Amino acid sequence: MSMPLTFESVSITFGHGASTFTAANAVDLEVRPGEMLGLVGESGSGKSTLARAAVGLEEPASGRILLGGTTISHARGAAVRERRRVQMIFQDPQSCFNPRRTIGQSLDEALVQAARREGDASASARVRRTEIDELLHAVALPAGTAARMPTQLSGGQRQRVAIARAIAARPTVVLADEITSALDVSVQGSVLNLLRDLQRELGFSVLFISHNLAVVRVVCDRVAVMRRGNLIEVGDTLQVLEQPREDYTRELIAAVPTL
Amino acid sequence: MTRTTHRLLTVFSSPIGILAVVACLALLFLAVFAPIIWGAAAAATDTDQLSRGPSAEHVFGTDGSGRDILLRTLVATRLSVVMALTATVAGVVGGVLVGLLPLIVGGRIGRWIVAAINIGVAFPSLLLAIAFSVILGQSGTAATLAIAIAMVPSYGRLTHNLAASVWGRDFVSAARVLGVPEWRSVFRHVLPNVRDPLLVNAAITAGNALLAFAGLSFLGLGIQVPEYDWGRMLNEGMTRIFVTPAAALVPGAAIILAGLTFVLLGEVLGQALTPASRGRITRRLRRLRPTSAAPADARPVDDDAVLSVRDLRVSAPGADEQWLPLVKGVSFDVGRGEIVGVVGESGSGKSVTLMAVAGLLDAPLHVEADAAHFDGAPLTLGTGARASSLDHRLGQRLAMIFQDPMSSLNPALTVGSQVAEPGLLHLGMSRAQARTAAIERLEAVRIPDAERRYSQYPHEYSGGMRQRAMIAAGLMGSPALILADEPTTALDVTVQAEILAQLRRVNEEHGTAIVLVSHDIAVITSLCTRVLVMYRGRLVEDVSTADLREGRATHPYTRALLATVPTMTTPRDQPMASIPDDADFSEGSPTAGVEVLRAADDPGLVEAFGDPDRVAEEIS
Repeated sequence: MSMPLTFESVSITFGHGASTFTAANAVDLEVRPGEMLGLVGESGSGKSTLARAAVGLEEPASGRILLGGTTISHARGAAVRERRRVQMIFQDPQSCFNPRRTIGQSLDEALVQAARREGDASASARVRRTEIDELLHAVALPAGTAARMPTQLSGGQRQRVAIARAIAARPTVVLADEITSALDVSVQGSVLNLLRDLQRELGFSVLFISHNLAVVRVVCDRVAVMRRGNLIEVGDTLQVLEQPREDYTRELIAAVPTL
Repeated sequence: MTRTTHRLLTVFSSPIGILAVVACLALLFLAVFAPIIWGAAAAATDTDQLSRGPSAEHVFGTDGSGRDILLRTLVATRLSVVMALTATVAGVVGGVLVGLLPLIVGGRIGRWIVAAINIGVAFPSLLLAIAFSVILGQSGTAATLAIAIAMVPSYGRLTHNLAASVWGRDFVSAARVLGVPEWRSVFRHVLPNVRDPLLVNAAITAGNALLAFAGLSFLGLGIQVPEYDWGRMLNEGMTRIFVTPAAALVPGAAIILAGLTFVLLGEVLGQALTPASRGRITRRLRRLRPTSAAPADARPVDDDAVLSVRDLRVSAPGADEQWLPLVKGVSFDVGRGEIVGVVGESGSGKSVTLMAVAGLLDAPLHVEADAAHFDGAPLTLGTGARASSLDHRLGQRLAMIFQDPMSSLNPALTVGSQVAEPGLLHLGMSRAQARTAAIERLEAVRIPDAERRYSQYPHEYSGGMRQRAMIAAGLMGSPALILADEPTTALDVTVQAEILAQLRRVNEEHGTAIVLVSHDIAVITSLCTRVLVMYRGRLVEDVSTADLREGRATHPYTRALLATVPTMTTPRDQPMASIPDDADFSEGSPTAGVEVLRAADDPGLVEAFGDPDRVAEEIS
């Protein structure tokens, strides 16, 4: 179950010919089993693109992405099913749920897919309903939430449901793409505490994408810094933040506003 | 769902809605019953009365074969409408499928399909209909098919455009990441979210189909004798238009009326399905006037302050014809040259307060204030109440900077001309003077190579440079006050620091006062000397930054908010502090928030207050 997510010399480009834009340039990165790896950098540095490639929303132009021993980039057949062990939580709680479906329906979809992946066709609708209640309980939301529409929940509550949807897929790796940057700082802590608790309990690893170094410092074991598509520094969080090797990292740290 | 039903009922009970319903029912009645009731009578030929004018026996006269024109027109409703609707249904279904197909198959084949749709759209649809009608032969069925085919490209493109924008949204991505097959994602997540505009368009398309069908029949391509529809009747009547005009005019009028019915239905559906149609409710609400429960602030306005506001109230029309208070009686002063921060969560009313001061709030919002003073003169705060004489003064003395510099700059105009605009508008500068002044201001905010940059467009600027250009535009006059609404939220941290430094420089060099609104208390404290804390539409604390830093904030909400901000020294081995959803720090129950924290039993939260008992004592 615990497997590393490995980016091997991954390059991702957009456009053709002269207007080619390189979003990620030969990135080598490993998300180790059970760790929370921070990925920081400015907008346009390629952090999100890298994550999207890992779940198949973008295709690398070269290099490959592995989960354990399976290549999940350019995946076909069984590798596509394997790739479902990598799940993603998105930034914008406004748009990460279908506005016309209830929270329960959205979670149910994730459970159906997980059951199908594991060849477990026996999961009846009744069993899944119990599972939905358990998921909502796990993210500290009342069971009645299942019957509600996304617009009836606050941003923080929706992000909790987004976490529930990700863990419903029984992930090995969760990619958290700026999951609190659209939230008020007063609820940020509870969402991150939840992610951290679930990670420890369920043992998945997290690629934690953020532009907020103070948050990364608190929640991440290691941190990677990206700039203009290049991975420029990786290391233990405290080491990188207290003794950065790169000037750019130093610049990022200096820019963090203090109270 | 119930809200949509409610909206449907509201719209369909409006005059235009009733008209649409009545017209549709009439059309339906005629289509179903006219051939049964008048079918035989309409087919009867009266050889004694060929091509006669109106008479008691035949209201609109008779055609060349002595048949009653009115009855034939009524009977023809069924064929005309059924054919048009059949063609519409086939065309719309075909178009929707073709439009969704590129998303399902994806990749290169998907792009080819999109290209094919685009080529199809290049041909006028009536031309396509005629061409296919000729190819498929002269019959009603062939004409229906031809019109349906002609509809597919335009409807396909509409569907594709709508669907592609939904396809890019996160909930579709989430479904794909979960492994939901593409076709199911399309039908489960995309189609329901583009359904409304497609329905509205389908009704309007039906009107066009009716017209196209009549056109084909008129050309002799559609319905063939002995069957007849309105187009066929028009064709037959046209030859004798000067003898018996009614033979052509009556079916012509029928086509127009039926076409209007469909367009009307589309219009009403559009109103019902788009949530913007709240004008009526708002008008009724305006008469009700919001009542303010907030205690009036008795302090007079401070004439020495650059901005002084007393008891500002802003309300929005809510559900059930109730006013929803957004700002509940806020009073504050901003001294000359002072930098004041306004902090609060989303929905606390901080941005609305700022917009109200700038006079940027329009109906349906309702703005009121007991008194306000700006830069030595009274300021009228109210919805649309800004006097035109004040425009110039505000234009010169008040500058506003918004969150997203990409949307506050017009992408079609050069940055320079937009920076120069206040000079032309408010300061009576000539074009050349304004240009020189604008370049000076751009240099002042450290835009490199300002002369060349002047004639560049917003997309050629980086996010930070755009925001600096906005500051430059604000500096064109000699502003006494800059209102900045989340000016760095859309920017990267390194750029954020640079913009904050720029604002501080403006303040030091020109003595301009600044009101900075931000959700990020760290941004506020790094620039401001005084902080106003807003919570649920009220100002709960007015505290100096120094006191805030030293932990001397008194309101529990302020303290909780401060504790939730992670810094580079936050302990890593403890849960992060946060404020629970159900915490209530409202006035009247100052300890309520503490109670919630105690009940929540979250070490991170209790940490936010130190010892809850002590805080409770302190407050009471």
